[in-house]
Amino acid sequence: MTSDTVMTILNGILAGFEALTWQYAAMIIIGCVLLWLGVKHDFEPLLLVPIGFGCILANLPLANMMGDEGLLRQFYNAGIINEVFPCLIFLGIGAMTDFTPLLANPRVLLLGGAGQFGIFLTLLLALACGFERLEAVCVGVIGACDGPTSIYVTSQFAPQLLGPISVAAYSYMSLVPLIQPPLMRLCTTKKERTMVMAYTDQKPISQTVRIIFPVAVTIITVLIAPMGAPLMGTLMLGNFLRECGCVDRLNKAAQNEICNIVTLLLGLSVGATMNGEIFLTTKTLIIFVLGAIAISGDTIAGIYLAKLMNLFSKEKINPLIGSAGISAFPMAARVSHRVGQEENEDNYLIMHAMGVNTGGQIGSVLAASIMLAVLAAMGYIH
Amino acid sequence: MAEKKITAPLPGIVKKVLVNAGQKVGAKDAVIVIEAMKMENKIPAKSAGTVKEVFISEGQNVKAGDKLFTIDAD
Repeated sequence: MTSDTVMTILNGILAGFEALTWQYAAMIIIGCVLLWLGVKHDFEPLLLVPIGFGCILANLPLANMMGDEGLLRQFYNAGIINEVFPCLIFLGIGAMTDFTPLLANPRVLLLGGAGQFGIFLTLLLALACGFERLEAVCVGVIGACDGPTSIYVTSQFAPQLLGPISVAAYSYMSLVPLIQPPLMRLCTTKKERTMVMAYTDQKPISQTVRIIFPVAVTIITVLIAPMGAPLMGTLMLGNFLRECGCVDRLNKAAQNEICNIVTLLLGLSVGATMNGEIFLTTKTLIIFVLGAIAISGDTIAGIYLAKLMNLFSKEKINPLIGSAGISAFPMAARVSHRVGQEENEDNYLIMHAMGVNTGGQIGSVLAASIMLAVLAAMGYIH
Repeated sequence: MAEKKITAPLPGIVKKVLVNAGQKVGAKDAVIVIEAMKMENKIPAKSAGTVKEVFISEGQNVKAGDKLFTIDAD
């Protein structure tokens, strides 16, 4: 073997290392951090593990996983760019969601609306920070605190920001238990937090109501905001499969097999969009800051709307459940319950908070759809 | 000795019954665990004493206000 051949072989083996720019290296480290957060600290491991691994794979030079023929590009084209994955996730969420607490106390749907305040606040801030109009919309949707909705909107209107926005949305969902409690304590008095909400006067919800609900919501909301039809339609279809009682196999498939497979592919594809040249910019940093403001805004708006409702209503609401209006499900409801229990151990807010939380899910899809409808009416999108 | 009745503070499924009738409990001891929305809620005895009667069993659905157990308070 001549020394030339040895050099050629060595060059072949080392080519990957030579092509490893600092951006690639930094992104691989970020991928590892996501894996570590998921595995070691149990932060949304179902999401962060595939996202982290996808990020590492996409940033290994010469492997070309996100090239035109690359494997991850195939997943991305098959489900993200055409919005199929987020909709299938919503099918699963619909099948997992029990809307009974919301039906038992429908007025808390208003709090689910207040939980979307952050979307509009962030939209304005993003515009002020110099984001283009459509990009600002996508950043605003982080305020829905809803991964699939963020991905759905961003993949349509600002696919170049998909990496930072979806990672921000999912990170903040997992940070809800850390971000919300201090704000909740700040915005409420001790007396408000210890207020017990009873369950005894609630009527049981019949199966007929539970079956009609998803159909009625679909028809009404899609007539109001037709562009949200794919998300709302799949969410409510999933819920109908759950409640109708005669397609148990489909219900289970939506909750388990479909949701699990799509979560894996969605996570991998989202991780694969974490391209160093785009991700390692100040834009990403601003998106993360705006995301934090969005979720804080949602939390505070929900709490104050609950207080406002108490001024006009005989039946008082513990303002702590107001913060569950963000659609991070079921974390936000659990946070309300936990903070309530810390203040008063006789207080079991969980079902009331779940009502608000499921209302927030409907609210975030509706808010995103309305925003798209407004943009369409103004001629920015088609 | 005063008999105290404890009812379910929220609807859910009885996940665990941690004591038997006749057992001594402290006021903070959990007697029953009710699961609602995948969240476990420990229902404490509220007063120290002897559990007199348990009205529900594991796996049972309860509504808010259903009788769970009685305690003979010390």
